[in-house]
Amino acid sequence: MPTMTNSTQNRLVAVAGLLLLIFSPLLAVSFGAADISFNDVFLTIYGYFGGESEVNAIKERIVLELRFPRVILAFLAGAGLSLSGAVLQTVTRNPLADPYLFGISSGASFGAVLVIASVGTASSMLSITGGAFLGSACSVLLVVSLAGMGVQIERMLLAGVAVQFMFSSGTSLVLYLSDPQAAASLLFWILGSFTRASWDNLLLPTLITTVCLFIFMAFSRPLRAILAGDENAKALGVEVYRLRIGMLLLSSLLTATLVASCGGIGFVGLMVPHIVRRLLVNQSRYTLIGSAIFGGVFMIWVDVLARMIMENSELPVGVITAAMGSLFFLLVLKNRSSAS
Amino acid sequence: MRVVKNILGLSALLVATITFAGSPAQRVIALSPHAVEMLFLLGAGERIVATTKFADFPEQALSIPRIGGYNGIQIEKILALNPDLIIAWEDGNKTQDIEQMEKLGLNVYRSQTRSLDQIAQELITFGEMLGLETKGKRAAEQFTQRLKRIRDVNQNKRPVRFFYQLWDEPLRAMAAGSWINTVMESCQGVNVFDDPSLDYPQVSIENVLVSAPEAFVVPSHHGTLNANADRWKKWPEIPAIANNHIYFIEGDLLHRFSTRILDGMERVCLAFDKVRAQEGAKRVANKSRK
Repeated sequence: MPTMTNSTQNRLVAVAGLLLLIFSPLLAVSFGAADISFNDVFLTIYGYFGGESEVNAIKERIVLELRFPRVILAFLAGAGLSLSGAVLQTVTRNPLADPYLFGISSGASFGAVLVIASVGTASSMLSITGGAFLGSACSVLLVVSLAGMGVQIERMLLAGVAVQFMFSSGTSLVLYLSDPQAAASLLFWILGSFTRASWDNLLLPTLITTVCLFIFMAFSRPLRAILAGDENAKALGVEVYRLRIGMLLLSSLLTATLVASCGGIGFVGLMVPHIVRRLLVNQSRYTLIGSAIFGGVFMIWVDVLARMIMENSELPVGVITAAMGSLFFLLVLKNRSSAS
Repeated sequence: MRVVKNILGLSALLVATITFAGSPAQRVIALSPHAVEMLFLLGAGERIVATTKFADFPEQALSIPRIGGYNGIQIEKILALNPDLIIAWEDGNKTQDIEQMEKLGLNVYRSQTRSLDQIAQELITFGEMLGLETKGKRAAEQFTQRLKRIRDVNQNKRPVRFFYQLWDEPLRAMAAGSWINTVMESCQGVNVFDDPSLDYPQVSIENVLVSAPEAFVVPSHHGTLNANADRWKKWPEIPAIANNHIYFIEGDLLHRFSTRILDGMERVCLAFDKVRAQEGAKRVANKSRK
């Protein structure tokens, strides 16, 4: 056992999480193409709440209208995907479960890509989001209906893989048939980005993420019972089938909303809950809220990287998360093999 | 076996060379829209037996059979058409396709689209291959002269900082690394994304805001405009938006490597002139107020 006691470690993690939660958005907002200092950000916020500030108008607008919505969207995406990953890993008792398990992401990508390709780029954001949402809903319905009576986990996982391949092939076909310009724009849906963030389109992701967080937290006790096995949970009076299907649908709704507004961002939902479980000792009841906070903060910084790595140009967020995620996995594997 | 292959290859090459040097090509497959345009310009349009998806100019080109597009070419169909010249596009066709056609012993010319001067060079080469040397040379000369005229006229004008919005969702710019930028440079345009190592980077609204362009150039893609101009109206801090200097120009006139690029260039120069004129007018107005 490490020299620290369990409760001290947990307390430290909680304090670190809280500090990160408060300071990350403020710091992240001061990174970007325009030269805006932390002080400017502070003054802008002060000015927004009625104080006297001398920040020039364009800096103020960049902070308030471009950077804050973007940082918030990044936080929501990270928090929502990690939350959804944590819940799915619990209800399926599969450590590899993630929000894209049921082909949600590939369904959403296919929907969005189909709308863009058929209507053209003139298609409004609303119709693209709608297309993404429909696509993901289709994939979830397919997987759940294929999962068999009692929602058998193995069947569901396999169905998820199949559905994912089905939609990916559809996306590839659309990409193949469209001209290079359009294809470049369609890639957005596959790689993910927060460039579209604005106050107007933050409402839905905020609402859904918050509501889902509260529902998940409310069910955190029966969820932990499921971890100990279906029979155990039933013995404790948990309606395993209904709880599982409910949680599945809720996490798909959450994922679909996020994919529809920022594209497919892989690995976060898989990775963050694992890290949080390692950080917290014997405190599985804090896994959910921990995943949300650390996932959100993580994504804020990933987006800062995406904006800053190349001057005058942006990297897709999904590229960075996938690179980090795979490295993380290799590291975990290496530690495991050296430990044994 | 190898020897036989080599002999076969050599003889194919020989036949190809003889065809190339000897009789002018009569059955041509043009694998790019710009090659089709140039052949029609030289009066050899009716010799094209097949082309690719987006070859739509001049109008007669629309009736030429299609044998592929960006994603590849049906080589079997090419063989069946028995062409004596294939004008491939090095930067637009798949490399594997071009190599395979060459391996099959077909007479392949690789068209390159990297600088404006190459357009004139290609007109001359096409003329030679088609037995239309004089026409080719004349067209090349006309092109070079017109290009020089445009450059001369604009040479001493004040540079205009522009943003070229190639695509709006995600926001994608044309940067200094692209050959299209040389069209803009001829009009004394200075790309706000001036990094020569980038050609078509994805950028953010903030990047554009910070770079404060005086003009927006927005190409249309295959007839459809993707403007999304409303998004920019919110940002009068950008000089181009404040002064309403957003110019939509037919994408084919700017992205297609044919002589029509000078039409596109003239429109761009005209747009930049408007930017300069407004500034001049403002200065005069300010002076008279004083």
